[in-house]
Amino acid sequence: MFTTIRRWAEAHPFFFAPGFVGLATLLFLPGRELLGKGHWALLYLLVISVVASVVGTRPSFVAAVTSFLTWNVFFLPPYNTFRVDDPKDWISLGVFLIVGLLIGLTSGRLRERETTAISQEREMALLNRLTGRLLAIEGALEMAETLCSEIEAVFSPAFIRFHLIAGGEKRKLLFGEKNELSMDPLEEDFLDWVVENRKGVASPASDVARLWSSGGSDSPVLHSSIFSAVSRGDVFLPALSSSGIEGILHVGERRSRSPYRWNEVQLLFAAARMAGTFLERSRLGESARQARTLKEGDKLKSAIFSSVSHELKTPLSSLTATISGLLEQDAEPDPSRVRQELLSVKKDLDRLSHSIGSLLELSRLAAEAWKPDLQWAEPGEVLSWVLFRLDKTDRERVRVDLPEHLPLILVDFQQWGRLLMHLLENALSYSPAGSPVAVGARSTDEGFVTWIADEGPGIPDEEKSRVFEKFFRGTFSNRLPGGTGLGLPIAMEIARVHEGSISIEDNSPAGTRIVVRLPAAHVMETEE
Amino acid sequence: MTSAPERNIRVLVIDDEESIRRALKSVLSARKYEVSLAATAAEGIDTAIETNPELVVLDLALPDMDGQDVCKELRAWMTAPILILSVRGNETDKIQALDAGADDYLTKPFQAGELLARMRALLRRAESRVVSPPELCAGDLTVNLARRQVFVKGEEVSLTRTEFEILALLVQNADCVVTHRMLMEKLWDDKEERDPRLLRVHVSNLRKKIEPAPSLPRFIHTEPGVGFRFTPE
Repeated sequence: MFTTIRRWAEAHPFFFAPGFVGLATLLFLPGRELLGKGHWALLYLLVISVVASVVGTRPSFVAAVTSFLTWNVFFLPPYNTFRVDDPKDWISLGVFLIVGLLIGLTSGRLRERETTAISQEREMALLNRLTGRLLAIEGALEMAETLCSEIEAVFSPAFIRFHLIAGGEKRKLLFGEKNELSMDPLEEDFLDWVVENRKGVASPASDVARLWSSGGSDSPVLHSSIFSAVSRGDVFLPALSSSGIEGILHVGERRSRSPYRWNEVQLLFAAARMAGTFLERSRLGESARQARTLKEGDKLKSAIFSSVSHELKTPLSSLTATISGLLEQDAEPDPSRVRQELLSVKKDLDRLSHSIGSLLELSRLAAEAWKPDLQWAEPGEVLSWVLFRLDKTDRERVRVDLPEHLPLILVDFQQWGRLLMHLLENALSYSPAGSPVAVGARSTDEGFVTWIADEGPGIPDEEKSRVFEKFFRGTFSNRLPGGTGLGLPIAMEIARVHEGSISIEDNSPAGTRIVVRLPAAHVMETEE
Repeated sequence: MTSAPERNIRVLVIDDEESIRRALKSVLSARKYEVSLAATAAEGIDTAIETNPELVVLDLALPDMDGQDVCKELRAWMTAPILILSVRGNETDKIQALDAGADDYLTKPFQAGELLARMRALLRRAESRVVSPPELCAGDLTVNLARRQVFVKGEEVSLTRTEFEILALLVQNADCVVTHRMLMEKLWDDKEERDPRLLRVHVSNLRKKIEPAPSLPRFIHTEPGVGFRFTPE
């Protein structure tokens, strides 16, 4: 009850002040004869100081003047007229007015300092929390979530949205939902205006703090100064950084409908600035990361260059030797020998083709030119596509273990197939000819798991982490003459783009077991 | 590995790479195909008009014309199958060419055996368009197109109308790719109804009914991004 009255009073101070004095007068009147006229003056001064402490200085002036008049009319003889008979009362009236105004001024100021102190404390607390939390955050989305949850906790607005403006591009909604039903025709215009002018837009409650604010060139402007006759409760604030505007914080009207005060708008502005600085910092961090990637790319290029020389030159020299040997006129062409030589030519060519294919694939992946074309696929469908691309002899070595019912997986069909193909080819090449290679898949709580297990010599522990390095060729790599050392890095890169992972385990009793995991977000159970 | 055709079949190879033309000529001539060669699209279309080939092998990357447009020009008057050669990673071109009338594709580099198998499948299909075989057996699967009956291990399996239509189209084009579009055009007259996801669901259900191990398809293979291929053996 008390707070409701207080809230009403705060919202309508200039109705409250005379109203409160009037109410007091109605209470005082029945007892007019019980006290002397000077006592009533003291009670009126009490009323003025109550008004000042509740609604501040300027309304208390109104209360002082109203009290002055009512005291005069109702408590100074002759009653119910403005006339004053006793000339001494003129002095009392004058003193009363001055004291009333002074009380109003002093207690009003006290109250405003208190309000300012409270809101400054709240601002400090909010900004402190934000700074602390933003330090521990990396992504823009997480930042927006944190910012908005803090603002939500302090102001409880109807909605909060954060729009991101990245490098002169069109702004995009990063956080907060848009309700199609509550279309806001002017919202887009306001957002555009903020982007263009890099200023905030708000229509705060008139407040003394506003007089204090210097109205600097970047302080927010009123909605009505952009579109005349528009009055709104929401606030648009640019997330500024040293290099420009990084985003827009759009805070809806408070759920209680009470308007934001000027200093609250300033607080939101400070928070938006903080977001701007954060975004700029992470953008700069991103460009540093890109520079690093470029450098790594250079290193990779030289590694590719040396590998290319080796991988392409070796089969080429043996091809040249074999074919020029066949073309030599001095030897008698023996059909069985020719066939033998041609078989070795074909082997060299396969090796060349494999190397070139892998190099192209890796450079495409490294250039990040490839965006996965994600589609829901049946795991067996992909595996079958891979198996029917293997030689018949290789295919016959593969033992497939798939349960009857598997979920759908969200993958780039061809690339996921390439991943399985690289792993299968590796397993087939690194294990004894004719030995079986097991391939299986299961749906698990964490997502979807595919494994490929061979009965080869296994990978020594110290090499397990290195096999995913580009061009790394392990102890047993001589078993795979066509290997480029690129199969596993390519597979890893494809898994990474699918938010999945590849790990290497020992197979029991012998061999290697490669496990490929896809996260649950890439798995969809279907009813049987 | 390869049985030579009983009579000389006229094949036109359109490819701008001299080495590929030479290699194909040597591979195909050795198997009694009558090969004519063209290095550009314009030359290819002229040669096609002159020789009326029974099969065209067309490289998609020609200097003077889009592969897709060559397909359209040839299709305007020619019914002979077109086998396109493409490089990996060029899915869009491939699909456009298939939609423009090409019948199947082969990704470079390919083995001679693969090329010959694709050609045989296309020629077989072209022939069966005249006389459609009433029944097809593949492993434990028997499909009787005329009676609209399907048997697995001798037992009749009941398929929905859509499933049968899909299977029939795949079987009639055994060993050849059947694009999503071809299937959808056959299944749904109304363009609005054509939904590749719905098609996938029907294919998945069909697999469950006819595949020996539905989770690892053996008959109906997926050609990623393109369509499906029925492989009898």
